[in-house]
Amino acid sequence: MNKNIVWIVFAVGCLLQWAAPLMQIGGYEKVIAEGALMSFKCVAPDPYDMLRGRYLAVRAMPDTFDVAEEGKFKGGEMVYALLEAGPDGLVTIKNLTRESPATGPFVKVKCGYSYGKSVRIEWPFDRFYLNEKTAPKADEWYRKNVRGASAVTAEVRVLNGKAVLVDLKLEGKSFKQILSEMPDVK
Amino acid sequence: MSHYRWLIEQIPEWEKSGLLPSEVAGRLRAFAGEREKTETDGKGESKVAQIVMGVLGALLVGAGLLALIAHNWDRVPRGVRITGSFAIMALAQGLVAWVIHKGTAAPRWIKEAAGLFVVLAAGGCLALVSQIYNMGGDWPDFLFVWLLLVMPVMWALRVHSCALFHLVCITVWTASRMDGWVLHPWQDSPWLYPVLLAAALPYWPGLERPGPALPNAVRWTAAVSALVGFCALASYSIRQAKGDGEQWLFMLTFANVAMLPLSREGADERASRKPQVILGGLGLLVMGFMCSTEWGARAMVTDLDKAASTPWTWVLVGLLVAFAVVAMLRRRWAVVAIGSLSLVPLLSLVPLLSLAAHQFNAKPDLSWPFTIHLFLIGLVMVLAEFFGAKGAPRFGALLITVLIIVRMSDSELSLITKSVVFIVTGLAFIGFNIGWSRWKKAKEVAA
Repeated sequence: MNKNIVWIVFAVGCLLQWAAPLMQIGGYEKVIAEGALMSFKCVAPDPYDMLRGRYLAVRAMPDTFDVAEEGKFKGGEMVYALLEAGPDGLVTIKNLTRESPATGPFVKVKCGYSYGKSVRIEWPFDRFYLNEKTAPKADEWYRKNVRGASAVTAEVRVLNGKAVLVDLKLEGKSFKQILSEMPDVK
Repeated sequence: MSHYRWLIEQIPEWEKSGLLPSEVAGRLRAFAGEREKTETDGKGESKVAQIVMGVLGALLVGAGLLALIAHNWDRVPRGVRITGSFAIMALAQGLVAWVIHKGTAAPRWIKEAAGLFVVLAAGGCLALVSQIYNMGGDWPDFLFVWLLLVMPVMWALRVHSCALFHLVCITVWTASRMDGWVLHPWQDSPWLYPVLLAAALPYWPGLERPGPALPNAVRWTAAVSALVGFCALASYSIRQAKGDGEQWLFMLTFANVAMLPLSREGADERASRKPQVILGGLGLLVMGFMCSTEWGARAMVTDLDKAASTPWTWVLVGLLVAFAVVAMLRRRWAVVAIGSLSLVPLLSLVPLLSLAAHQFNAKPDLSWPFTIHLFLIGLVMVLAEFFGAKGAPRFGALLITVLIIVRMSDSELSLITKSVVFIVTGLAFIGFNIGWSRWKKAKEVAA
């Protein structure tokens, strides 16, 4: 193979390997800096990822939406969820559309299975990564509180369809702070 | 010690004992010496061992990096963490740049290790970013982005370690996309598998092969990948048609993989160098035996009409016919015979047979066509050798024996009858084995 072609292919490879994470970093930093802060109610943990370490599985609610007509969206289809804060400050879905909404906070989501008019949606954030030492304690805390009277909420920054999970909270207090105040977690 | 070193050390003794004339001994010594040079680094060290050690080293360093990232240093500012992981990736890329600059002067093991190191460093960088920003998505999604980013490294270096990584990743990713009940866009579905596989063979771009021959590890991994990937694709395509009977598509996939066209030299290579034939053929035979039972044949014809209405089925049938023609031209009769098992289910689509079965409110029973077909394959393999053609008598006898056992197990005969048949079959098999050995020995002595 011509050595120039080798260099070109390698350069393209290097460029991709730098561009992909940098673009992700740029996009997510923008969301964190400028995105609207939304709170989602959470349920059900299940932590593990073989490549990226320990995490808390976050199942943000609501994860279903009733559409006007049956079979409007197919499983696997990417749509936009228009969000609004309910009276309790937690997120509710106002509408699901194929086109990106002109106003209001919205997130690009994947449709799952449909049951009649009810469409299940998959949020683009479903995990909160943790240090391996704090993970077991955090898991225990999460399991204990996620079914309690006060809801664990996921604090998510939302901008132009993108969402970044920034914190988990219980009664307005960051869970990292709660964990650090617990005696055996450093 | 390499085989060639051993040969070189034996030559003087053979020459001394008069087994080899000195002229032949000299030529043999020169030949073995040349071959030994290509297999070792000139100091007697095996190149394969060097490559394996180099790859293992890179694998351990990369795995260590991933584990370090997985620890999640949440007290270290994210800017520092990101800079650290990019620095490691830059180091790995620098090593690859040095290898490319050196060209053919760079030892093979360094090329392999550098390729794998940059693959793992890029993966580590991606993992860190997705960890810092709590990105969603399961690990096959992550794997997919990772393999796309490192594909150019495989192309630039043409190293086997990157090709193995690519093959494993595309197989795992495609299998994870098998869920046909959910609609995936084509670029996120098993339909992408053929494109991803084509990207690795033979380590594009360019037509020059990466070395004198692909190592067995790459061949076997590619064969397994092709079987799993195309079966996932078959399963996905039939589920998109809201059907459930993948069995026929699996058989067609196995047959296509087994009959993949080979050059004349390729066809003459030993079996271990043709894993696609071994794995594809074995898969077909196992499915053939299953279908020779009543329940297996019933499962095969369930939703066969759904399979017949799936375009992918007819693509596979078309390819199979084309591959069969090439295989016949290469005189690969055994592969053609076993591959033709995948066309037996077509019988149930023949209008007359289907009509006859429907008269009795039943689906056509394919267990007998499968049994007869398998029996004939076994018989021909046994007899061919006795008539001077290239056969496989022991393998043929084994096929017939297994067929009898499977059919007996499926039958409603009494246990006593079954036990008698098993004993007779076992004795016949042992008797054949002994008889065949004697016949062959007598033939060799006569020759």
